[in-house]
Amino acid sequence: MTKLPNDAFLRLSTSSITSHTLYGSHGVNQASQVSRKQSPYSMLLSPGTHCHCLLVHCSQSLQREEAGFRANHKEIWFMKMEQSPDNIWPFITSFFRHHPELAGAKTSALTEVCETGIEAFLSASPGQGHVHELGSLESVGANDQEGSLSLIKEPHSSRVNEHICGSLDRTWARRELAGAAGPALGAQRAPGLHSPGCRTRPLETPPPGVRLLKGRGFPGGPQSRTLPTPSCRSPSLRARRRVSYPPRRPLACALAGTWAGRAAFKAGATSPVQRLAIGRGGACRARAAAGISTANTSATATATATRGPPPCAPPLQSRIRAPRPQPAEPPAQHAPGACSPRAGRGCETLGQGPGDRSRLTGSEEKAKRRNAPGALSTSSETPFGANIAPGLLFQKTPEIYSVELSGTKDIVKTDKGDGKEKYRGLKNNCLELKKKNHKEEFQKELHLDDHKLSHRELEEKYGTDIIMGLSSTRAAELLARDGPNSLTPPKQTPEIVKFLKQMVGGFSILLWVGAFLCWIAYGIQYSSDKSASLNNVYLGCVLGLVVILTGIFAYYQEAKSTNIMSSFNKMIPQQALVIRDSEKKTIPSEQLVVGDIVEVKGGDQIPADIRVLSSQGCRVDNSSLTGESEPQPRSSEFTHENPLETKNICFYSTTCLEASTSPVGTVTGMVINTGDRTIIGHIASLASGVGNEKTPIAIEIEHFVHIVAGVAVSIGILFFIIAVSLKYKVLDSIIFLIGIIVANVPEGLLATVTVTLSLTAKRMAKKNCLVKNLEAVETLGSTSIICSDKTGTLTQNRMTVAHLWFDNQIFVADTSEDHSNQVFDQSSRTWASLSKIITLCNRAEFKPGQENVPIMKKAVIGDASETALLKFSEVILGDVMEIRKRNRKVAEIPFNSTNKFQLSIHEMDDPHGKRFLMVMKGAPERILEKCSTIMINGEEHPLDKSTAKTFHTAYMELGGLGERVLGFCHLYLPADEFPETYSFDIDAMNFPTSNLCFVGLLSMIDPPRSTVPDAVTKCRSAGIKVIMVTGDHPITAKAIAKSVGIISANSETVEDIAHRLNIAVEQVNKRDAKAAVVTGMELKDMSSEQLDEILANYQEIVFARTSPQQKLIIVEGCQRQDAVVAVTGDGVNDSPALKKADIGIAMGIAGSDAAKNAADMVLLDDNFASIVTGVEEGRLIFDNLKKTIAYTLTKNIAELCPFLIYIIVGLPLPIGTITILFIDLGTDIIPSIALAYEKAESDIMNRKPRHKNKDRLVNQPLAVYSYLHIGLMQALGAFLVYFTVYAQEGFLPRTLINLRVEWEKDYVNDLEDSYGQEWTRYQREYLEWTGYTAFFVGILVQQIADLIIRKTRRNSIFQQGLFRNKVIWVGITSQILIGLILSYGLGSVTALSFTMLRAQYWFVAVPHAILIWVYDEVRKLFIRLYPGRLQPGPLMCPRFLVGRLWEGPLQPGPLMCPRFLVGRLWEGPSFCSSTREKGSTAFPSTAHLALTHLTEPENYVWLSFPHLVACPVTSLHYSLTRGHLGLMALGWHLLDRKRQP
Amino acid sequence: MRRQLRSRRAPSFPYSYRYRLDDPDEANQNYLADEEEEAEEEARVTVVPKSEEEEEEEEKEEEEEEEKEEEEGQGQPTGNAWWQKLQIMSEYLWDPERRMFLARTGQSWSLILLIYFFFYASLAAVITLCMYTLFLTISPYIPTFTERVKPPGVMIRPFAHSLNFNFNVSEPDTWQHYVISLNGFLQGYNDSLQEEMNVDCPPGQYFIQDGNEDEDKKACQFKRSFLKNCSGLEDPTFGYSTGQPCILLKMNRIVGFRPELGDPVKVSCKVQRGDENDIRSISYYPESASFDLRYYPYYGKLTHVNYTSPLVAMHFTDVVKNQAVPVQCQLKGKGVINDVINDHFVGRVIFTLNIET
Repeated sequence: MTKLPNDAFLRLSTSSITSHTLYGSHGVNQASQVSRKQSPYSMLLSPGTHCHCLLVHCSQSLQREEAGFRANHKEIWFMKMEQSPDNIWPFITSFFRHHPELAGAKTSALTEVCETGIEAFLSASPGQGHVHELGSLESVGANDQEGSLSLIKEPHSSRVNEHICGSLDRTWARRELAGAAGPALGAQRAPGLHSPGCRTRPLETPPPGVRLLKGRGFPGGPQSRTLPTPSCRSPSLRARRRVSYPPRRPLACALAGTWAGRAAFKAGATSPVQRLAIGRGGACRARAAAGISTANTSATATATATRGPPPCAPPLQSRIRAPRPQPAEPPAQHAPGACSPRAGRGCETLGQGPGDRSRLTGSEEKAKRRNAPGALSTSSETPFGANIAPGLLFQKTPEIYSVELSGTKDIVKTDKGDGKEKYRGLKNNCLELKKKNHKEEFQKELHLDDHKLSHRELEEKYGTDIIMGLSSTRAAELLARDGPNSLTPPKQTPEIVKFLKQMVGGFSILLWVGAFLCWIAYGIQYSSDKSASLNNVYLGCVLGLVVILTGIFAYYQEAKSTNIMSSFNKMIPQQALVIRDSEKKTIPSEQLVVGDIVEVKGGDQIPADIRVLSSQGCRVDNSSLTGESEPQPRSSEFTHENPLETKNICFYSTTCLEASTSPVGTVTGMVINTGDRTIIGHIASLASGVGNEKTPIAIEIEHFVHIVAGVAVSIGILFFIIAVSLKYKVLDSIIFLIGIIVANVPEGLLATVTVTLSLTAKRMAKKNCLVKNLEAVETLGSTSIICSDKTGTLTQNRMTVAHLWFDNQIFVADTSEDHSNQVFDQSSRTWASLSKIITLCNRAEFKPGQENVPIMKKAVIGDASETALLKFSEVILGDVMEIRKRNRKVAEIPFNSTNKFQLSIHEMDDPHGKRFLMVMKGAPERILEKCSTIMINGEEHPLDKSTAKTFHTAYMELGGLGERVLGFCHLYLPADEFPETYSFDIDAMNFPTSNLCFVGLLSMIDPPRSTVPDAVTKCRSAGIKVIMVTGDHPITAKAIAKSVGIISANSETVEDIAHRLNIAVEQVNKRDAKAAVVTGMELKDMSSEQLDEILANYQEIVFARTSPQQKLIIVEGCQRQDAVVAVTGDGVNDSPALKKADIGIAMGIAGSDAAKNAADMVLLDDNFASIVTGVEEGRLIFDNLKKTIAYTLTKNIAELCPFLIYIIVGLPLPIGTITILFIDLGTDIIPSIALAYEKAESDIMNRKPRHKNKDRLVNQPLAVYSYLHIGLMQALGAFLVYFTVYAQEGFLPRTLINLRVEWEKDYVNDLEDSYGQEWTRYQREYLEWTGYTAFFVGILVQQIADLIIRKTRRNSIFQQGLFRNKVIWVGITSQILIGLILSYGLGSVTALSFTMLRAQYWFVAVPHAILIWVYDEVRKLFIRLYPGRLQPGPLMCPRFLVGRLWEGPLQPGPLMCPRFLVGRLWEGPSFCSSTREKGSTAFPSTAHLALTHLTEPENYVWLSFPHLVACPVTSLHYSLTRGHLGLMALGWHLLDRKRQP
Repeated sequence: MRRQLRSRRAPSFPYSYRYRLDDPDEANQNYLADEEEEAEEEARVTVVPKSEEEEEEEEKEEEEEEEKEEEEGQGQPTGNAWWQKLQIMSEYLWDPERRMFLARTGQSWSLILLIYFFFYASLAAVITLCMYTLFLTISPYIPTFTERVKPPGVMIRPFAHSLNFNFNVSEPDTWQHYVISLNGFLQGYNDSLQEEMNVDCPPGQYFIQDGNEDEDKKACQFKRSFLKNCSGLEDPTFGYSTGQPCILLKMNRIVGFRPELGDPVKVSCKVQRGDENDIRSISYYPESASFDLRYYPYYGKLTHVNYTSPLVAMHFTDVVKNQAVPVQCQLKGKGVINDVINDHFVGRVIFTLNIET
């Protein structure tokens, strides 16, 4: 482990759960012990649920007292969570006001602690590192390395305490200097701003005894050493903590921000938009904007300082006091490592400081420092161009850096590797993608190094001139070389080819063969006999027509699927302003070439990938590329190693937004990539390169076609041979062949499937799932893994008030989509005050003209939190604008990041006298410090220690929920001092802003959609793994994952276990962890095997901070598990993954066009719950398709048998080919479609997704059962009708045998029948048609029975309900009607060969139909009795017996545990045992899933019963209290039973 | 594989009683694999119910086997190369190790074949029963319906695959087969035979024989001699040798068919297309050119054993030679239909005479 520095350090850690451990004696003591051993400073640990702060103080003498201090006041730091550095003093003031007991000797320490601590807090609050490693020295070391923070103590110039300074060692001094450098830089960067150190602070009178220990800093060196960045973690560490949180990246950012902030503070810079936020990616929002300090700044300073004066020396102070340009300060130019490459956007400073925003860097800078000083100078290439002299640094602190250095090295190497790979990937991505090793291709970010180059180097590289631009000739050359700047559309298949493909796909080829054989046969007949019957021609035409119609139908469906590239094309900007030949020209952006100098104005789209040369307040909207919705600032500075992260590259097709601080956001940049070589082009080619995977249902249908075609062809050929060998003429044999083929091929089936799918698609569209690709309907049903995006899908994507705290109580607000019922107690007078503040102290307004829009959907002008508050109050109080009108606003201080509060003064509409009410809201700690009283139950109480503590607790708790907390206070201005005419002056602040009355807290989050947790649970019970894949920060992701149940309440990650058990992460048995949070950074280093392992071993996985390529990798990884993967996404960045997924689901509202195009399905309401609906529909449709196919296949045998009999036995042909077609395409179509409306048989969502290779649509049993059982019975039934007709007309069956030859002789016109009657040929033919019709009717009648039995696969028809599916009856009716029409309506049409059948023949097959029904019921009964494998012994007690016989006195016991039915419940039998195994009282999630089965049809109740009874009662309780209230009654019932002996 | 899982998990099961704890996955697989089982189960459910125990036993055995097979099947690697596929295929066809043919052992095969045997035997029983029932409803003596065979068709003799009579008077070979055919056909009409077997019943009225339908019915005599010149008794060549061919016309038998009373069906022939005079004269035998009513009704093959269809002989005494003459002979009479478009043999018959000299 690294050697700890001998000085103070500050640790920041976050983890949502770990607080208590730290809080307890163990962690704290250890931590403090560590610190005591190591340094003259002791630590202070302040754990919270989300943020932890460990402070160190310098005074050894205070060690003992610290404990008490710690114990009492650790929350303080949380209070300051959103505090900016320049508000520390007010805070300290108020702190001591409330904690007089801490005055004295200790407070000197405290003061410093406060200051530093606050600072730490600032960094920490959003940044969420780890705390639980703190338990041991070793882990402290690790933590130090990974996420901790060295605190920088800024010398307080006026109060330098020399004796403390004296105790500092050299390192210390160095650090201090470095620390000093920061502000200096800030000053430099914001030179015009007023200055610093002793600015107007509220701390006019420091509390008694406060010795402000100043003149020291904990500065640069260590800071950079400890700068937390994932990328600088050592490989070993990374390996060990693979599934851990990506650590403190944000922390680092935050630290950077802190630094900047401090610098600003010291320099006196007032940053206009300094803001601190918790929330999504909140870590890095805590940024001071104005002054920028970087790690290497401090490093440099350190370097300087080591040689320079001691820490407290005057030069330093003077620098701070009077900021002046620091030649040694490089501008904050390169600070990439601090944030993850991709996540850099999360690290941008929000503030719009006068200077540039920057990010801090960790690894990269360090790497450079170590590897070669030169590297640093390269990277510091900036307009300001300062150099760093790092030499000393290396000499001084080698051992400190050792670990990071190796880590960095590793990263550098990887990056290089990436680059190579990327080039390869770019060149031939389409082909390569499909190859085995394409994982690497995806894995790598685009290689670009242009962002690292100086302007001069750029000019050289591209042969251009920044001022003059390219020459026209050169541009023309380049254009010729590189091609136009547009995305290459993928090769299109010609429409005619697509159409032809449809014409020969599926059964079509077979039917074509049949049709041609018909025509050939007719040709041969015609050539020998001119009067040959036209029957064969008709048949051929009908067959051809069938094929063509089916083909057109399929083609129409195919043509509907849209082209993905079109959306990419849409994004191309039309015109670009380019400098060529020293002139500004507007040219079509297609003509841009690399090296062009372009200017982009706000609102324009970026015309190509450009390297920013200069920019003015430019921000780009990268949302379509990265999915990040926040505008990204762009400047000319190289800020990150990763091209996607660095600020000086703008990407093709993104939009340049008009910046808020600058009238016109403009960018001048050099084109570095055009067309397909741009990032977006890369992604586009990724998306189009990712082949359209065949949908599972397509595979199934293909499989089915193969089976049927195989059967048809083999039977056809077999009987062809038989016929020939039976001395039939070849021509006749061919006609037999045709008949066999036609009989075997379910002509109508493919159309039926299409219709069925589109019906389901329609149904799904009604439920907000718009299916673009019909086959995707089913795919969703077989989905076994859903990779879901977070924002907008799982969450509502808007800030919403979630909790309130007043009257010492936390109230829960309704965060559901419509805010409909706010149930918290609104009777309190505190609430009246609070609501007044919420209403009045708010600048947001509804846009006009939305009277009829529901409140929650109204558009609002204002920022997210104010919008949330406005809507919140509108919902509760009614017309907010009216209230505001009544309470006229007389003065207002808008929110700014310096103040961190918003204040307004209103005239009261109080009848008792016109008073002014001052209302204020802002960062809670900031508000609290302005307050001296607190309102409880409408009464003002002094704000004492205990109330403050409750405040802290509440604040901590709310913060711990990942929510953004605001504090509210007010003050009624005394009427005598502030008469009605009083003129408030905002600048002069002629009104009190302290000693206010604290009213309450309010916290906001982007809440999960209310339907999501339920949907996730449903997915779980459906055996679908829900994986969150988000670009968001791991902690936020995890918090949301927890709240929606993606990580279930009782599962832990490896880190959680490590923390709970207080052991190192490495010691945790990974098998114990059910959940895993994996970051993009970790993913990057994983081999595919490792990823597989994670995917296979963890049930609950969250991927955070992932890039598009990584999403693709994840999807592929899932697919390697043989899973059917659904991916949800909205951005362009998601489109490759959407395409790659078995089913891509795009967001309809938030989704980009590219995503929608790449997707197979669009969620119109962006709601995750819709997916579940889709899954249900998909599963249902698979089941129903199975039924449809079984139904359709059955009659094939009945159609085929006649031919076989005809050939072998020589009966007159029982059924004609055209009649067969009438069954297939006439009577059977509607019933088989009707099966699509069949309701689910039972627990469709409680079984696992089908296995795509095992659970086929058409499997052997289905085929065997359809063909050899029901089909055969049907054939017999139809033959019965046939024989009946013939027998009654005079031909008894025995006469018919071998009659065929005579029968068919045209010249035999006196063929004798069984009764001696003589028949002419035509009379026989007519009889034959009657036979056809009879056979047809026989099949028809039995198909009705078939249809009814196919309604269910295992349940009895009577369980399912015979009349529940009305459409079935429509189908049956249509079947009969069509039959009647054919027989009686078209009976005279010769070509159709139908005759009017006597009515009684319709009923001949009825007993057979009933037989089929009965037979199938018996089969189903057996299946229900002995599902799957038969179980011997007492387990074989049939369900229906259990239900009926033993209902009353039923005793749980082996007799009544039909395992096979319980086994139906997913993981049913094992949930109790797994509980036992783990030895925990926690009920496994599967248990309550199993319990949910109890709500299923009563069937399962009894069956599950024994298991439940065997479960620990607590588990049941647990499960029952998990919201399955519906089960309560049952549960208690069961419990009662259990209690009974 | 599955069994291992089972054994690993089983001990942890908390129940006191022995309980077979399956891998949940397996349970689920079973659920999904139901279909596969269905067919097998199906096989055991015979329509004629067997004893339950026997059936279960069978099923159990079956299940075990299947389980075994399935496990083995899962372990099989799926090869991509064709020879691997071939190997898998050949192993599927015959696996010498496990002695399995088509993935079934001999025992399994015999079992499943037995099951199917029973199943189909039951089906056969069912169809037999149905057919039996059918025959119960059908009289063997009289057809249930005769409307398809009405109105009666007409056929001529001699008939040899064609209705074109092409012969050369001077070449006996060209007409000899007509003669043979007619001779053969008229054997049953020999006077001696008719007198021996049949009764002479009064002409001009139906020969109605009451009594049960299964009683034997008597038939009226139709003697060959009724045909006079065309009986072949006087002219054994039936006029073919002289270019005056005899053609016999026969109305198709229909059970229960009765021509209109008092109006026997008459035969009249004429040239179908072309010159009416091509035929010039036809002699009909019997001279009435009609089918006497006494030959009706027909009572069916079983009871009306010796029934001989009445005939009308047409003697084309002066047909135009060396020219194809299409002749249409129609039945005439009340209620006789002779103009069905589709059926050229109902109530009429068309043939061509082409007599060369």
